[in-house]
Amino acid sequence: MSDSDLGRKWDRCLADTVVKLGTGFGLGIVFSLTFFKRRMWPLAFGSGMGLGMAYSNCQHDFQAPYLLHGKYVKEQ
Amino acid sequence: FSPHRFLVKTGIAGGSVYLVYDLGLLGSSSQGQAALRRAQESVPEALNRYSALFSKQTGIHIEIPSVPHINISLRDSWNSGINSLMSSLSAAPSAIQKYSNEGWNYLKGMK
Repeated sequence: MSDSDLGRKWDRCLADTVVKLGTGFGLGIVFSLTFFKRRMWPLAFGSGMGLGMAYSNCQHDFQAPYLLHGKYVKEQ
Repeated sequence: FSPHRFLVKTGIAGGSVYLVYDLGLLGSSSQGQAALRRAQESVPEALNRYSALFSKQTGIHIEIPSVPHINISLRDSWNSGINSLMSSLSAAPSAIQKYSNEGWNYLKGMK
């Protein structure tokens, strides 16, 4: 992985983290207001889910050059 | 329990989940980056348009300052920090030896 590729991956990772954290927080606010009587835990849950999704995407992005993709050919 | 209220709440929650999915905010990292770029382009324009409309309606002139462009390279700062830390750690034994010798000689001189 070249330096510029690595830099681009980090940029993508940080942007995605911001988006997913904000989305999770926003959805947490919506669910807290509609179903859960303005409690705090849906916000924490949504933010945590967003962070987890972003971490998973970043991990996949950084591991991508080292993952081998194969095809399973069924015996006829 | 009011069924109308429940339906309205379900509609709002379900609609927001669908909107988020449709905008690609819960997809891959490239989709998230594209969504952030779209937001960065559209939000200042929308703010300017609405502030112009507001000032036209009310006569109060609002000027929203532009976001300052911060040009800090986190990677360069991190790399230079690591480099200086490692170089100081590698020079630490000789520096400790030098300062201990100087301290010892100073103490011997005092006697």
